[in-house]
Formats: sequence, C-alpha cells, structure tokens
Amino acid sequence: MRHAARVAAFLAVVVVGPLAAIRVVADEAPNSAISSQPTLVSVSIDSGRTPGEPIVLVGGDARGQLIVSGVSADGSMRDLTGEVTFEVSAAGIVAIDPSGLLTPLADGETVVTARAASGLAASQTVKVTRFGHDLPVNFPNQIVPIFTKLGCNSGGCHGKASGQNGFKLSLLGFEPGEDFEYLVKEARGRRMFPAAPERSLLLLKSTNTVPHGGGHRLEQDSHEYRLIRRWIAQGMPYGKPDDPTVARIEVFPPIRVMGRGARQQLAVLAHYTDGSIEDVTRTVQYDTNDAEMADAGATGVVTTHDLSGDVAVMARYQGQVGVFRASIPLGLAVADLPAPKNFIDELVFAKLKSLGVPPSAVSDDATFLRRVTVDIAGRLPTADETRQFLADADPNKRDRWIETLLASPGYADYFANKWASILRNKRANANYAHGTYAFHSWIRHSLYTNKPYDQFAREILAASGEVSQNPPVVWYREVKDTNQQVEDTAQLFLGLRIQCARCHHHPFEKWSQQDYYGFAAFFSRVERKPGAQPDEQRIFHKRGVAQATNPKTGKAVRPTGLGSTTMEVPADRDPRQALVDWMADPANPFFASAVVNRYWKHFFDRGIVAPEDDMRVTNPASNPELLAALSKHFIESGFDLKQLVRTICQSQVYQLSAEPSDHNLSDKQNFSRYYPRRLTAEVLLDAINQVTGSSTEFSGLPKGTRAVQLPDQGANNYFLTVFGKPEGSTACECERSQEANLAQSLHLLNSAEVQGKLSADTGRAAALAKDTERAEEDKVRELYFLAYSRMPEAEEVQIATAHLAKSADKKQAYEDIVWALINTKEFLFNH
Amino acid sequence: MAVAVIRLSSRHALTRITHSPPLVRLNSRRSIPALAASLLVAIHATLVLAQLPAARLYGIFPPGARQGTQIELTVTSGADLEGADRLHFSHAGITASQKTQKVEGQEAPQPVANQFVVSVAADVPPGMYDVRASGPYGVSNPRVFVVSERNELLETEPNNDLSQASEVPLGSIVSARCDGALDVDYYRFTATAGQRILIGCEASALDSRLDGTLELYDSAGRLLDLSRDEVNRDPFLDHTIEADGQYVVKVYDFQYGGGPEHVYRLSISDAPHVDFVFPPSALPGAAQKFVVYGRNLPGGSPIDGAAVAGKSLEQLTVEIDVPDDPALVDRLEWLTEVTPSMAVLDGFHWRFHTDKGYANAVLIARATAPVVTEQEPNDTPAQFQVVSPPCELVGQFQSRGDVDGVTFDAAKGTVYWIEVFSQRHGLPTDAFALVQRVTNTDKGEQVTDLKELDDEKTATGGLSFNVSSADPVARFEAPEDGKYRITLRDLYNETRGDPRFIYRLAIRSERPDFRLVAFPEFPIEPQKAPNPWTLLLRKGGTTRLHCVAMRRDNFLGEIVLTAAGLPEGVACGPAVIVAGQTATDLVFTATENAPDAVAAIRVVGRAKTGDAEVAREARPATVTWPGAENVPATSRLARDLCLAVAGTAPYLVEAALPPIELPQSRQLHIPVKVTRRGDFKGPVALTGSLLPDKVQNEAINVAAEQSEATVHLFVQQDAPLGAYTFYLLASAPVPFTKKADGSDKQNVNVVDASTPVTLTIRPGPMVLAPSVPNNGALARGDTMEVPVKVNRRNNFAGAVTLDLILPPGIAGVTAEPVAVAAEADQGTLVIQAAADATEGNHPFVAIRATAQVDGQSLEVHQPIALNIQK
Repeated sequence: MRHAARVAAFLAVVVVGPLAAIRVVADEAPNSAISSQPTLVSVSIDSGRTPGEPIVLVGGDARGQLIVSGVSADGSMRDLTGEVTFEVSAAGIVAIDPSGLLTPLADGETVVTARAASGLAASQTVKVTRFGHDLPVNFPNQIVPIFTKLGCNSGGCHGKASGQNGFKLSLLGFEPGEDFEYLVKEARGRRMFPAAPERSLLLLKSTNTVPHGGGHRLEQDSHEYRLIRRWIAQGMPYGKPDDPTVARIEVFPPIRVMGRGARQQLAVLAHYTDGSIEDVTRTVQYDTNDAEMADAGATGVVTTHDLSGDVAVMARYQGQVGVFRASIPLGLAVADLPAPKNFIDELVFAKLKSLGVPPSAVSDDATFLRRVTVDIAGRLPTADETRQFLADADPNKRDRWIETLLASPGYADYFANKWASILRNKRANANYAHGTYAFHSWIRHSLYTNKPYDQFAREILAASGEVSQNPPVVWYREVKDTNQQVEDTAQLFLGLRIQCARCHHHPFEKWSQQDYYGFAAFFSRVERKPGAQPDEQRIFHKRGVAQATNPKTGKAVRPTGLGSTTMEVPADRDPRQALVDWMADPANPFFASAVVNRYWKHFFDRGIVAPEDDMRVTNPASNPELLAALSKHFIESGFDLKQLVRTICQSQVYQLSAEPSDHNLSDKQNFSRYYPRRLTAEVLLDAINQVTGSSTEFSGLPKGTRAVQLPDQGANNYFLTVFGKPEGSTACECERSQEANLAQSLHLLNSAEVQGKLSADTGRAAALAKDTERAEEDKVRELYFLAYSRMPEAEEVQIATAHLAKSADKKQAYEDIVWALINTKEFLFNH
Repeated sequence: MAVAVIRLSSRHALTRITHSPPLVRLNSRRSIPALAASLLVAIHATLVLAQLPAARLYGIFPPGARQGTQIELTVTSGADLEGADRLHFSHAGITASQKTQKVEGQEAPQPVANQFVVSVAADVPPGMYDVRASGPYGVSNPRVFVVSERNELLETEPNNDLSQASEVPLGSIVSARCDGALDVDYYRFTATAGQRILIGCEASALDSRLDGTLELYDSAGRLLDLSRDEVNRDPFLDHTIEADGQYVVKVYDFQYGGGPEHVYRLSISDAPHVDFVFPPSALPGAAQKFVVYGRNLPGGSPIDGAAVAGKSLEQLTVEIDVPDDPALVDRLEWLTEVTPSMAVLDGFHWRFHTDKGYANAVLIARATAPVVTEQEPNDTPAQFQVVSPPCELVGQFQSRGDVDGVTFDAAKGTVYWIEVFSQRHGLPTDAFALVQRVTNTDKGEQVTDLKELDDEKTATGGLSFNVSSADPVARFEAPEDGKYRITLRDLYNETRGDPRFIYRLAIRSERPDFRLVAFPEFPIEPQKAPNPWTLLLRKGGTTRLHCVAMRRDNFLGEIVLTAAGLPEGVACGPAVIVAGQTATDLVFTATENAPDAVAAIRVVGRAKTGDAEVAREARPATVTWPGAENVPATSRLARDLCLAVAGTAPYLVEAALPPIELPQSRQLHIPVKVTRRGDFKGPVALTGSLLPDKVQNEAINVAAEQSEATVHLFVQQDAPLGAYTFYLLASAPVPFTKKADGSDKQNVNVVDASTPVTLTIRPGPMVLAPSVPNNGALARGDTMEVPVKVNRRNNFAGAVTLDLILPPGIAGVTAEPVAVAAEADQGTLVIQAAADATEGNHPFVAIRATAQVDGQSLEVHQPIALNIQK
C-alpha cells in the first residue's frame, strides 16, 4: 500500500469531489401524499363482470368479490372495498363479509349496497341460482387450484419432482390427471375415505389434525375444506371429459394509480371454454414482481409501500396468468423538462410526469463525452478527443460525436464483445480457436457493416455449412442439443425464458410443453457432419419433415412459433428459415422488443423490462409505451442497430445527469436520471492501460490488442476474471458480473499488475516526469482529460501540484497521482 | 530434457511439444515441422530420432521468382538437411547451385549452408513447380516454387503497422512471411478511381502454414473490406477504387501464427482473374467454345445478376483446344494445387492469356459422358430438365435457394453411376442429390424416394491422402422400367448461392477403371499420424512407396504395380493391390554398392477391366503437413516422384522365398536372413505386413547375433484366393549418430520392410479336422491317436495320405503315414514321441494330407499344438 500511505490525503480530496455525482445509496423519498387525498364525488361497485348487469352466483360453491371504488373529481379512483359498510336488501340470499366477498345462501335476487363513511353509496344486484343443486365437483377446475393456493404443489413441497414424504403432486397443478392418480389411486387409496370424508388423510393432514410436515394449511370448515370434503363424499369424481376448462383469467382492475401505503382489492374471474365465468379471487395465487414496492395478500389485496414507481401483481390459476399493474406516483410537480429530442424523451417524460418524478438535469459535455464513448465504443475518450470536444462550439457536436463513434471500429469491437459472450463463443480447447476467431470476426464485421438485425439473427439461427465458409455455424458447436437451441433462441432473440416449459408448464407464463416442443420442432432436423478441422462440424438441414415429440402427450408437434400457429414446412426446406421468417415478421411481438430492451439496458443499466431477457406478461415493462415505440421504430428502420443506438444516445433521457435531484434518487426504473455503473472488466482494463500509458499482452494475440477486442475467452487474464468478464457459457448477460468485491479493490490498489503499469519506464508517469517542457498544471490537466474526460477543478490541480512539489522523485509522484485517479469511483464508473 | 513450447499457427492448434527419448510425441499435424523449424540447426545434436534421418523440407524463401531471373533462395525450415547441396525442380528450366562465399584461409569459395542461387529460364511458363533439396540424407519432400511473369518484390521488415506499410507498385508480387508469432504485415499501394484492384494472397497453395487473412483500408484507416478462405482456402479481395489515393493492405495469420513456414505471395494488381470457365468439363477432341467468367477480363462484358460477394463478374467466350492425349488420363497436368479429393479427376489446366499476361489457371475436367448444359429455370419438378443418359449435366448452384433437377427414363436393370463433381473442382460446395422414381397412377404422379446421396465417405488413402469428398457418388440400377428424377442442390442452399459453385452431375454407364497415387509414408504408424516423408533408399536396404488405387465404377480386380526409371543397383519387384483392396506398398531394394542417386521414377499399375488390359501411371503425391492424431494430413499431388539412394542401411531382412503358390489350408514357413552392418548387432523384431486376410500371422524376434530364423504363417481354409505381395516389417533399435566422428550414438528405432514375398492362394482341395486328445499333451515315449476327418471340397474326390510334419527345430515326434481311401473321410494318425523328443509346446506341428489333384501332387496342412512332456 505504498501509494495509499503516501497519498491518503490527496486521495481523500480527489474522491470526495466527483463522488457526489454518483451517489448510489437511496435516501428518503419525499413524504407521501396520502394525507391529502382529493374529495370523492361518487362511489362505484365492480366485480370484473359487465357493469350494470346483475352478478349471478351459480351453485352453493360460487363466490363473488365486490370491489368498491371511490371516484374523485379529477376522475382518479381509490379502492374503498375494505372501508365501506355493506348492506343486503333481501336477507338470506347472500352473505357478504367486510372484505366484499359474497357467499350464496339460497336462490333468489337481492341488492347489495356499499356505503362510504361520507355517505356516498353504490348498489349492485346479485342473483343466486341452483343453490341447492349439489353440482358434481370437477377435480381439475375446483380441487387442484386449492393445492396451488395453499402451496401444497409448490416446487419446495409436494410439487417437486420427487414429491415430499412419499406424496407427490404435479408442480403448480399443471397436470391434474397425474394429481388425481396420486391422490385417489396411489397408496391403495388410503388418502381418501369417502365413507367418512372428514377422516380422509388428505383433510386430516392438511388441517394438521394428524401431524403434517407442512403444518396447518387448511382451515377446518373453510370454503376450501368443505369443497374438498364434498368432493370426497361424491366419490372423488374427476370430472367429465367434456367439462369446460379455463380458457383465460382476467384480473380486475387491470391497472390503477395507487398512492403509497395504499391498498387495492382485486377480483379475478376465470373464463371457461363454455363461456361461463367463475369468480376465483380467493383461489388464485398472487405474487408481486417487486416486494419492495408492494405486497399481495391471499385474499387479493394489494398493499403498496413507500416507494413510487410501477409494480405488477401476477395472479396464477390453472396454468393461466393475469396481471394487475399499479402505478404509484411520487406526485410532485414536474416542470422545466428539457425539450424532447425524440419520442424517447416524450414517452419517458410523460411517464415521469404521470408519476410526478422530476428528472435530473441534462449532463454537461464532459460527462456526456465520457459516458457515450464508453457506452458505444467501450473505451475512454483520448485526451485529444476530450480537448477538441470541450472546445467545440457546434450545438450539434453531441450528435456528431455519436456518428463518429458509430462509424468507428470501437463500436464493432465493443458490441462484438457483448454479442460474442451471449452467443457463447467459447473456446473449450485449443482446436476451438479457429472457430471462435472466425465467429467473433463475423460478429464484429456484421456489426461494423451494420448488417440488419433480422439478417444477423437469421444467419446465426439458420446457419448451415462449414466454419470457414460460414462462421455462425460455430453457434451450433457450443449450443449443442435441441433444448439448448430452443432456450438460447428464446432467451437471446425473443427475450423469453421458456426453459421451464421443457418439463412442465411455465409457472409464470402461458407456455406449456406443447409450446416448447412446437418451438423445438424448428431445430429437429439440425444435423452435423465432421468439419474441415478437428472439433468442427458442418451443420445442415437433414431432409425430412420437422417435428418434435411432446413427452407429456407422446405426440409429434410440428414447428410452431410461440403463441403462433403451426407451420407446414416441406421435407426439403430448412424449418429454421421459417422460424426466422416468423421472428422477423414485423407483427412478431417478441423479436424487436427483445433486442431494443436489451440495448436499452446496455445504455441505461436497466431494461424497460428487467431482467432484459425475461419478458413476460407477469413481468411488465416499466414503460410499455416506450418499449412499443422503440420496437416500432426499430422495425421501421429495417432492424437497423446503429439507428437504434443513435436514437437512444441522441435522446435527452440518455443524456440526463447521473446526479440525482432531491426527489429521484429512489427511482430505479423510470429513467429520471442516468444510473451509474462500474465499467465492465474489459473496458476498465483498457481504460487503466490508457491512463497509465501501458498495455496488457494477451497470449496469442498481437501487441496492442485491447481487452474489448478479445475474440474469445482463450486469453486467461486475472484482471478480467476478477472484474467479472463472462465465460460465454450461457445466453444470459447476467453471466457478466458487475458485483463489487474485495479482490477487485485490492487488485486496483495494490497488485503487482497495476503497480507495474503505474511504474513502467515506458508508462505515463515516467513520460510525464520526464517531460520538462510543460508546466505541472498542464500535465495534471492531461491526466484529468485521460481519466475523467474533464478539466480538473482548481482545487484538484492545486492538490496535485502540491503533491508534486513536495516529492523529490517526480516519477513516483506522478505514479501516485495516476494511482489515485484510477482508484476513484469517478474513474471506475460510467456516470 | 528441454521442453520446447512452440506456438503453432493455428488453423490447427496451440500445441506444447515435449520431446523425450526415444520418440517425439506427435500431438499435432504440424508439430514436427514446428520443431524442426525453430531448431533447424541445433536440434540434430540432441533429438533422438524416431527413424533414421531422411531429408525433409518445410520452408523456403522466397517461394517464387520471375521468369528469366536469378534469385537467392534460402532453405528456412526442414529436417535432416545437413549438407544438402542441391535443389531439384520439377521443371528443367529452373536450376540451382549452392551459394558459395569466400572464407578466410580457404582458397576456393566455400558453400553456404541452406543458401542457393536459383536461375529461372525465360521460357519457363508461369505456374507452380516443385522444389526438393537433397544431400547426405536423400532427397526431400517437395515444396512449391512459383514462377511468375510479374514484378517480384521481397517483403521488407519492419512493416508491422500502418505507418510502416511498404509501398507495392500495382502489378507486383511480394514474397513475404508472417515472421515469428504475432507478426502482422502492412503494404500500401496507389490506385486511381475506377480501377478494379484484385488482391491475392497465395499461402495454402504454396504449402504454407499461413491461414492468410487480408484487410483493405483507405488512407484514413477505414476498413473497406476483408477476406479469408475465398479461393482454395486463401483470401482474395476485389475492390473498385472510389477515389484516387493510397490504400493499405494488412496481411496476417488468422490466428496470429508465424514462423519460417508462414510464407505467402501477395499480389496487388488490376490484371485479369478467372473465376471459372463454363462448361467445367468437356469430352476430348477438337476445339470447343467455353465461357470464361472473371474480373478485369480484356474484352469481357459485365453480366447482369452474376455477382459474387457483391462483386460483379464479366464474361467472355473463348475457344479452347481440348487435348485428346491418352497420357492425360493418367497424368493430371496441373499448374496449381491438387488436393487429395481432386486427385481422382482427369483433366487439364487452362490459362487465359492476355496482353497483361496470363491469368490464374483453371481446371477443365475430362467429361465422363456427353456434356449437357443446365437450363434454368429447373427448380421445381415440373421444370426439371429431361436428359438422356449417359450424360454429364453441367450447371451452377448460382443463387440462394437454387435447386436443379433432371428426369430421365431407364429400363429395368439399366445401371448408371450417378456422380457429382463439385467440391472436387476445388470449391467449398457440398452437393446433395435425391434420386426418386416417378410413376403415373390413376391418382396422379406418385413419387418414391430411392436414395439420398451425400458425401462420398471413402476411406481410400487413409489419413495420409484422404480422397474422400463432399461429392455424392452411387451406383444406380433401375428397379423398373420408368421415369426417374434426380434433384440436386447444395446442402446449404438456403443460406448461400454463388455463380462460381459449378457442378457436374454425371449419369454415366458403368465403366470400371482406376487411378493411382503413390507417396512415401512416415514408417511408423502412418495410419495414425501421417507426416511429410521421402523416398530414401539406403544401400543394402529397402524402402517402401505407398500406392493407393482410387477404384471407379465397381472395379474390384487386382492391380499389379511395377516401377520404372530406377537408378543403378535398385530393384523393385511387382506388388499387387489385391482384388477389392485399395492400397499396397512397393518395396525397393538397393544393392550394397549401388551408387548415390536422385532419380525421378514412375510407377505403373496394370489390371484387367473387363476384357481390356489397362495401364495407369500413378500420380505422385506428398504429405505437406501432418495431421493431428486421427485427422487427415494436409496433402497434395506432387509434380514428380523422386527416389534417392544414399547412405548405408544398418540391416537387411531377406525373406528368402521365391514366388509361391499355395492352396488354402496350408502352412508357410518363411526362412529369414538378417544381414547386420556396422556396429548394429542387436535383435530384430519381425511381423508380417500387408498379409492377405485369413492368413495367420506370427511376430518373432531374431535375437542379437542370430542371422537366420523362420516366420510361420498359415493360410487358413477360407483365405481369399488371389495373388498377394507382402513383406515382413522389421523393427530394430540401431545405434546412430550424425556426428562424423561416430560419437554420441543413440538408439534409433529403425523400421523397414524385408524383401517382399509373392504368394498366390489357390483353392484348397480339402480341410482337415483332427480331434487331438488331452489338448495335445504327450509324454516322451508315449503315443497318441489322433482321428482326422477329411472334408473334401472344390470338386476334389480322390484318395489322401495323412502324415505329420514338424517345423524346423523340432525332432523326435513321428507318425506313420495313413491312407484315406477316396470313399473314406477319416483316418487315424498315431503320433509317437521318442524318448528324446523335443520338449515343450509346439504350435506349428501340422497334420499333412497329400493328394493328387488335377495330376499334381498337392498338400494341405492343419496345425495342431503338441505339448511334449517328460
């Protein structure tokens, strides 16, 4: 720690100044506006059904959830369900509890009135029919959802593949047929006792009457308990083959603006294939996508916390999912917005306005220059570039610089580095290098020449031939089997993680095994022949009709795009071409949005959907309009990646300061400021080399090769490993670790590698020490240009020159300064 | 032991080579040259060889010169080239002498090691030639030497970045290399707007290890284009200049390999380049019209739509004399590289001559049937072209998605060979053909798949000269009278198409025939790790030449090989490629007093195809770089077949047996004579090699000092009939040093063939089935009754006499002859062991049956194992 000891004071000053700009710890959000809620002008009752029509409860098992909303003068709505008093006009028809849950008591019709404390009221007609008819219980529709709701069939309990304590249920009830077998037939039927249903092991265990590892799950005499008991008493019917099944579920309300610390009752309706509707509010399972922002209780009550922003609550029922989205405004006046430069600004600012979150100011030129150079070209600006840019008076200089960067090889290097990793351009052994070099070169050149993204994807996914002639076939070397091809394609190019659906229905999405294997069919004819070099293969379409077998049904599935219709691909045609045709169709809902979201994350550190490759109904975009507009723009541009980068970087939103205002520090998803982040491993190493005037040699690559230019993971480098360079083992960008750890700090502060760079005789410090032409101030200024792309402040110059003045060994003094500069957060972060 | 860590280029691999006695471990196809390259001078003192030294040449510089000039050439990489003082070129117009220089204290100028002065006569046609070096360790394998008619330059280092780029006048060729690992070379040239500049970088074609990559930049450092693996694995750039000015070309190995074997020849010009001629084949005879497709063709006209990688092509119709020289059938006359898969072609090279000189050479193949040109559109069955076989349809996979098809009628039983030639024209194509039968029924046209044809996966040539290709070939026999359809496409047609992707689809009559290639193989386990090797015959010893038959159209017959043009004192008996087999070795022997020589020899194979006697001269070949284990080597046809006589063999194993005919079920005891020379006194291990199937082999060890032995073989009852040549493979640790004073000798494992044996196997008249009691255990002084069943066959019905025969070295075991009458099928031999009978296990004691067959006395054997005990 010789540098540390010597320049502690110096470092302290250097670090404090710039760090203010990159605070990353949340401070308190402003007080909520709950206390000043607007006056209500009316009250309404909803149930998710057609407004104005009576609610019909069919049979004794039916339930109905009422949602009472108060409407303010400005049209905003607030949930009053738990606050009103309910009255029933004709007694004995339905019972209603304070949470608004209707339970039928007898056939008939009545009116339920909800009255708010202010006296405002609303009414709803409720009809009960067929109360006495003990309708046969349908096992899949009525019993299985109870297991899901109570968590019996969760992955941690009986739902895991091996079951729990000898009893297994299908995961989340996706296979009711199997559940029926397990419950009714397995273990010689000992779980059921139709003669005395309440003595069935199923009920005794779940109520913990006999000891149950899972504890007390089911209330005796609850609605669910009675339903199960009745089902057992009926002799455990499965249901008839033509019984209706759930076609979809609907969450009401779908979207609401909520205050912080507010609550909202939800109602969920299941729509059956026969057109009937059932209220399943109490049977569905709720999950929020951000527990920091809101909770969702078992009865369908969403409670927001102290943060503002967007939150989603997923409701899951019988393999179907529905979403409630809440927007929780901060509620501040948003004025003095920068003039929008393009649609990104319009949509982000509109969102910020609706949330009442004021954005930070637009960053200064120096900050912009460094930020955009890192983000587009993966490098720091040179001292000359900084000098010229800061001196340039052209109001269009930012746009011009973006163009310069886009045309530069740095753009291709940096984005090839990004793509090569998620395209898994990995060197498993020395023989692989020929292929990994070829694939990297192909990726880089594709980006350099701005190959349209749909063509880029096509050339990879439908790659055929031999490595030298068609390098993207290397993708198939690393992504070996059909499952990997399916999953990587979905995750990488469609932003969908459909891995789950390989073995069971996707728990958070509508994807079933049928969907998975329909997608897998596209890859079913991929064959290999030995290639020209060892460990290489020729990839080709093996003539034949593409199909895959759904292991659940044992039936063949023809190629089917996700959520699309089955295709007929003749035996002579490569179905992978049909796959890309489907993907690149402008109407495809996934392809463009996945990549614009991925690129958005590249520039903003957070996708509009986050994580960027887990896009699903239940993980909604923080700004759906923005995502849609970006996708549209991208498609209309002809899948032009440079245009996408250009549009993003030209926006005011991208150019906002990372310095939070008083009110947007807690904003993590609405892009009211630039979210600072550590330079990636490769960029950081190159940056250190640039500032220290040194280079890192990578074995097998020519001198001067920069870390972002590495073609694969073949060059072992401790620095890159410690700072989280990915190995190209998965299609997930999450493989790149941006975490901070002690090893990183120690390496920067005190490693032989960094010390060597600082003290090299050919390095920056040595050169500056030798340079007697220039004043020390000028040299210090150059260092600030190099490290931070900005002019140093007077105090910074003063501290540095003072340190130089008191040091006998000038070279060592410059080493100290360089060391201090590269150990600041201002250097380590892009901000 | 020192460990050499060598970075290999790595089209192949980063390989760490550790060498320790007694063998060099060969991990990579390029390990030996790498080793030799880096340690050319120093290594010989320390490396323990796997075989006696034999000259090998890996790198020369420069690899070419202009016609009518004299240059200095350096041998930059090789092995066992100490004292090499001659270069041999495959064209008599190229000559060389070793460079000499004045050395202090010496009167006469002294030779400079590895340096030669090469003169190229003005009339040597531009093209590629072979050069070999020779000296005390024989004549080396060849390397390519190019003769051009352009301005020739040598690379000047440093040229490692843009600022150091060296100027190349347009129309020049630079001989250069990526020196040492990570060398990157820059060149600049000046061009004017509108000029179509073609940049070539020959490397693979020059036997170079460079995986060449070209990048073109403008003066502002903007990348304009890049290329690799464009033409025959080498890069090629075509750029039309937009603005007058300077441009920069960067050349590097794709994986940044470098060294003396990473040579290349960079050409920057606006001279003509021919991409291909169409049709790509022709029947021999008179002058015919061809269309030349290329760039910068004087008088050429641009073609709409015909573009490769975005560059338009021009075309020009020319008339070319298609030679009708029968020698062409044997010798593939070529000016460029012929890879193993191409080596089966017949044809000739043609070059477009313009006032700017010759364009690059292209191959025009000898058609296998009348040529029919593809007529587009022919992508759907309704459009398929109707042809009348035998014919050769010539076409192109010219655009993405292109599918071509033909229909033809054939009568039941008609046989055609369906063969596609496309990759074998040096293209990266991968043809796929579907053969279908079309029948008309009342439901309409019914189509039945008969065959899907993809790569021809022959193992012919092994790893040393693997002739397999991606071109399909199959025999077709019409199952019924009717209509047949062949759909042909590039296997990757949905991702690419290219007018250069020409093909020939032959639907030809069956015409059994063969072609031959011959090349020396590294003597130790060539089947696993082929290496460049050479034909070095030591005096009083033997050497082998591996000969491979590429059989065509179900030709299965035996091929008898003979060698011609042998130098004095050298003999080479005929060798037979057995019916149905594809390879054998010719064994050359030299007398002890044969004079030193380097000779171009010829090998001819003769066979009967139908009633015709045909003779085919073997095409010489060479391994240029080793392959990794179980990976085919890099090989090509050579331009001549050179044999050297030099040095003295440490031993000779003679299989002292005249040509012999034996029936099936017969023992063969080969008397062996071992002659040792010099201070070699050690044992020699022997085992039969290239033996016929079903001939039981025996491995023996001829002990030190012992000079005679017997190798026992047994021709089993089901051994295939026919003529065979084989030899005993000898292996012995021989003390050896290169040092003139004989010091520091170390053992070298010398593997060589014995003199060959010729054996003809005839049908056996019977098979003996003895029932030996007690597993053959017999006490001295005791007797044993052995019932022997005589199973007569092959129309033999006569009487038989049974007795016992002993192999040399066993005595005291006898049996009285027993007659088995014609009508009987069993006899019983009484075997008696004398009191002094040789003790021990005797696996080669045999029961013999003698009979008169077709008026001749014939005997068959059945070995029985006896164990004579006290």
